[in-house]
Formats: sequence, structure tokens, C-alpha cells
Amino acid sequence: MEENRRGRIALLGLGAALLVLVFVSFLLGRYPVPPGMLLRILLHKLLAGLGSLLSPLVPGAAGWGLGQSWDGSMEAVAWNIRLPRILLSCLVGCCLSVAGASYQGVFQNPMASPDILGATNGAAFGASLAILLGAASQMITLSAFCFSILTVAAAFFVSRLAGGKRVLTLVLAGIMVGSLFSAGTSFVKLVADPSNQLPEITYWLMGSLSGAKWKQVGLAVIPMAAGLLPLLLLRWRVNVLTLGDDEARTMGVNAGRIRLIVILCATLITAASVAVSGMIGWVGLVIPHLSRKLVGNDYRRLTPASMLFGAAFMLAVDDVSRNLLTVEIPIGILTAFVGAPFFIWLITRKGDAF
Amino acid sequence: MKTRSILALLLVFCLALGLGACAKGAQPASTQQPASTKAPEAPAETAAPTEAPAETAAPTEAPAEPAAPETVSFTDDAGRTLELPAKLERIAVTGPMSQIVVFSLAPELLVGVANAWDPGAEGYFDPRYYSLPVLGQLYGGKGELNLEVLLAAGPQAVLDVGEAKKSVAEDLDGLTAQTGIPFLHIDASTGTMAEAYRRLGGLLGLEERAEELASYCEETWARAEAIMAAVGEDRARILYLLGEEGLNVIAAGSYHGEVVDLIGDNLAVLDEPSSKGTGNETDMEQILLWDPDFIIFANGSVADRVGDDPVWQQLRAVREGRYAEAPFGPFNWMGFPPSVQRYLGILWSLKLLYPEQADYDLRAEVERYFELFYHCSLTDEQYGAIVK
Repeated sequence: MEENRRGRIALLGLGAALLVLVFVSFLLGRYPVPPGMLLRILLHKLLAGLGSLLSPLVPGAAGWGLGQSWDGSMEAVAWNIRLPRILLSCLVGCCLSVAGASYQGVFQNPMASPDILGATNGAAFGASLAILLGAASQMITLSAFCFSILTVAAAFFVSRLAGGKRVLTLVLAGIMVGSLFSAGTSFVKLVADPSNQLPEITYWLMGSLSGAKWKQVGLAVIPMAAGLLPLLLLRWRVNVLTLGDDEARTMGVNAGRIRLIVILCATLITAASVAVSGMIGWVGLVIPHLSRKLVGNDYRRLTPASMLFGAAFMLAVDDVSRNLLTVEIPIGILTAFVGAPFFIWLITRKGDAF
Repeated sequence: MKTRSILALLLVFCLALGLGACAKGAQPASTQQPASTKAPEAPAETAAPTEAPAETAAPTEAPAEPAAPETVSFTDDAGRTLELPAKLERIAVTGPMSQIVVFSLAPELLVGVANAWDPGAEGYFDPRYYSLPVLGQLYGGKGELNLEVLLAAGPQAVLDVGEAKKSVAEDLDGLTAQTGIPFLHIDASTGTMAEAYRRLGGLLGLEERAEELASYCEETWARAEAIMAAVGEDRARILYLLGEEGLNVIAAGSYHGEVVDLIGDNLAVLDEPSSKGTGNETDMEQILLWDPDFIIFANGSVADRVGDDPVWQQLRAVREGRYAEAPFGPFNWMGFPPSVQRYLGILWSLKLLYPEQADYDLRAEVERYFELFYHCSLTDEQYGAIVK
């Protein structure tokens, strides 16, 4: 009971922290826009959007909005540059971290992270290939997404062919298929034109949210929601999975099927995140552990906690990435800078192991 | 319990299908869907995303600067027609190639550069150009170019000069829509440099200066061809070697081979010439077989070591001292990056290989080039350091 209350308070705290961070992030940026103006622009946009939605029903709604007292650049900064980027970093952080938490539960392995089944390697290959073929940004994202799913599907297929312990073979198959695809990525880099394609591939692989657009947010949110929702609904069953298959059966839970669904969903959201952001490591490994420290091992609270924490963490790191220097630092580099030391601390700490 | 998990599974499939449908069609119409499914995972985002998709296209057209006196429409080399201020006074660039070209034509219009200049350029360039703020480079639609920094620098247009990528129109359209600043593409390669300058001159209202640069490019190329015609049968059999060990070669007929192919017989005739700036990998045995009359090494390669290297001594050209290192300052004259400084490489190598036919004063030519393209006058010391 006591623990329940603590967990709920921690969740509320995380939610509040995320809200504050979103607000603060909206104010941060290299282009000077007064905070009051930002809010006016936001309000205007919301009103105008609502107006255009309602215009068939309410006469005159199309003209809703505030009087314009800002210039085009400010509007572009607030609405086309900052807001989509904030949303995208929240989504990506949320997905990667909850995917990591789910994989850790399903595989019973604290070292599991979203790329354990090769999803990121596949996405990297898909993106490199698309860049090599001269595709535009949208196609690069799509190709990354498809190859990511394909990689995990291949790993799944291979593990079905092999006998033995299903979970172990799946992880091994994931590692193998993933390394196959990363070899493919290396080959693509080798044949890419070093004056324009190679830097583009390298930059993509580093992971960055720069250039986030509404289009990307709209595209990514569908598979993300499709994966996140089942994970939220099934979160207590993940608890049962951690007890072992036999125990699960006695509780009336089909462990195999739940595992399949969780893996499917986690893969979907990982693929969607990596496809829009590139390779961002560590979030999926570190944030679930941090969330565990906060709310404990119970997935009923761990899943939402990982979501909120992941979103907040990614948003904060992205704020650093876009504000620290005039030239952007790819976020994939920054998360590793934060993630690696933390992990070293985690494994060298005495007492309470995972 | 069972029904719930099945329900969840169904949901996954439905939405996955939805993704497929959405990815195919255009985005705005079908993007209302996510708003409803999104609520549980992100309490912080409140109402914002609901309106988002409907807005994507609209915002940038509306706030056309009321203060701007007049605009002209311009069709760039990617076939996109854009509205531009009649007089462009502040421009930005997307990458190193654009940077060199625009800098040579209109340095005073640049609000920033994509990459910091090579430190070697500090001694040559006017400090006010050398210390232009670094805005970062774009790679496709993404990049280290922080869009807010770009907007804060206040350019009226952003220029992308160079070889067109397949995706250039879509990438630049996206950026134009997002920032409200027109992003333009102008085609350019060594062969079409003159044309590119004229296009840019027309765009920036600097026709006269552009004509000067364009005709320099054409004249130099024509002069080189005339010299080679005079040389006739006596074309030198040459190799251009690069890489740490000097074991990479620029193949005949490749994109980077234009200059080498012009100034002599490029012996490196390969089945698969690489279009990369690092050329094709080769080995010492192959180089011995080619047995060139003259070798040009890229800067930073093995040129200063081959003199007392027993393996390289096997080569006739090395034994006879018929090799040279390509000059560097502020860029590699032989052409990486492949930009206008290649004309310097042509002038230098012709003088070196055919001193009789190339009857110009190299020093004077180089000085003229630096004045035209880099806006600086070359001192004796600087010239001596570059051309050894």
C-alpha cells in the first residue's frame, strides 16, 4: 500500500517534470523570440487550426485567431521548428525507453536494450541504402523503418528454425542478423560518394533530431501509438512474464503469446523512433534502470514511468544539443556521454544488484 | 483477460495497416487519426498535435514580408519556382562547395559559412570574411545547421551550389516550407562553372563580376586546351597519386580525373574508375607497370619520402626526380574538394610539364586568381610557401 502511494507520487512528479520541461524547451532556442510572443503564436495557431476544423459547422470559424503582431520568422521558429522538434524528441525518448524496459522484462536481462533484436542495425542499413540511392528524407525514414522491421522479422524467423530455448535463440538470432546488417551498412559506406553521401550517412547514423518537421511527427506518431498502447494495456502481464513461463501458466497467462505481443510492440516503436531520429543509444538501456530506482520493478508503474522519464530525458538532452553551440551536436553523441558514465557507475556500485 | 490481449493485438495490426496507408498517401488528410490514439502516452502534449497536421502547409505562405518592396520569381536548377526579394543582400549557403563558389562571387553577401575555413586560409582571406560565423552544414534534409541559428542570421535566401542530388528538390522544398526562407539549388561542376557563375550573377544582381569569373574559367580552360594542342604528340604520360602511402590513383575518365586527363595522358586506365575523391586503390606493382614519365602527388602524401625510399626508387620518374607535390593553399590545387581552385592546378601543372608551350607567368596568373576568387593579394612569402 505504502509502495503503491510512493509509486503514484513518483509518476505524478515525473509527469509534472515533463510538463515543465516541455514549457521550458519551448522558450529555449537560438532565435530570440520573447516568451509572451511565443505563447501568442501558439494560441493563434491553435485557434486558427480549431477554426479551420470547425469551419464547416460554425460559420466564420475559419477566420479565428489573434491579430498578428509577429513576423514570419518568429512564427516559423515557434511553430515549424521548435514545436515539432519538442514533440518528436518526447516521442522518441518515450518509445526508446519503454521499448528497453519491455525487452528487459521479456528477456529477463538487465542488459537488454531496444537494439537487442537488431532493429537499429536494420534501420541504419535501410537509411544508408536509401541515401546511397539518392532518396529524399521521407523515403530515407520509410526505408529505415521497413528494414528495421525486416531485421527483427528475420531474427524471429531464424529463431523459429532453431530449436532450444526460445528466448535465448531469439536474442542470438537478433545479434547475428543485426551484425549481418551492420556489415551491410559498412559496405554501403564504402561505396558511397565521400563528398556528399558519406557525410550524410555518417550524420544520420549519429542520431539527430535536427530538421524535425510536422510531417515526421505525423508519420511517426501512428506506429508509435500502435506500439505504446498495447504495452500500456498489457503492462501487468509483463510482471507475470518475469516470474517464468510455468508460473505464468498457473496464473492463466499465455506467456508465449504475451511475449510475442510485447516484442512486436517494442519492435514497432523502436523502428519508428530510429527511423525518424537515427541511432540514439543508451536511452533505452539507462532510463528503464533509472525508472526502476524510482518506482520499483512493478511494470504496472515501471512502464508509464519509463515513458515519462524517457520523454523528459530526451527532451532535456535535445535542448542541450540545439542550444549549447551554434552548430548542432548530434543527440546520439550526447546521450552516450550521459549514458556511459551512468552505466559504469551502475555496474561498479556495491550492493543492491539489478 | 484473453479478449483484452487479443484486442491489443488487433489494435496493433489495424494501426500498422493505417501506417502503411498513410505512408503511401499524402500526410495531412489522414493524420487526424493519431490524435485520438495518442492521448494516453503523452499527457504533456495536450491539444497541440490535434491541430498540427492541418497546419503543416499553411503557415509559410501567409506571412510574406509586408515590408519587402517587391519580389521576383526565380526558377532554380532543380526546376522549382520561388519568390525572392528583388535585391538579395544577405545569403547563406548549405555546404562547402556552395561556400567556395558564393564566396568567390559575393563574399560581402554571406551572413555565415557552412564550415569553418581551413586554418590555412587565415593568412589569405580578409579577416572579416575569414571570421564569418559558422552556421553548420546540411546533409539532405537534416544536418548540423541549426535552423534557428540560420533564421537569426537573417538570410533572404539560402543557396545550394554543386552537383544536384536526386532528392534535392524535395529536401529544399521541405526546408523552404519549414523556415519560410527560399532555399535554391544551382548546378555546378568544373565543366559548367562558368554557367553557374552567370546564373548566380543574375540571381544576385552581380552580372558584371560573375561575367569576369565566368570568362576567367572559360579562358583558362581554352588556354589549357590550346597548350595541349601545341604539345600534340608529346603529351606527358602521368599519374596523380594520393593517399597516405601514395597508393591511390585518380583514374582516367573519372569525375575527379578531369584535370589530370586534360594535362597529359593519364596512365591509370581502369575498368571501374571510382568517382570518389580518394580515387581507386592500386599497388606498387601496378605503378611500376604503368612506368609514368611524371608523377604528381597530392599534398600530405609521400612526395617528401619517395626520394630515399628503395621501393619508390624503382620508378624511373622518381629516380630522375620527375615528380612533384600538388600545391596547397588554401585548398588543394589539384582539386579536392572539386571546385574552382582546379584552374590553379591546371595552370601550375601545365607550366611544370610543358614549360615551353605554357608561356605565361605562373606567378602573375596565380595572383590574378587569388584576387578574383579569394579577394586578396598574394605576398611573395605566401606564393613561395605554396609553389615550391
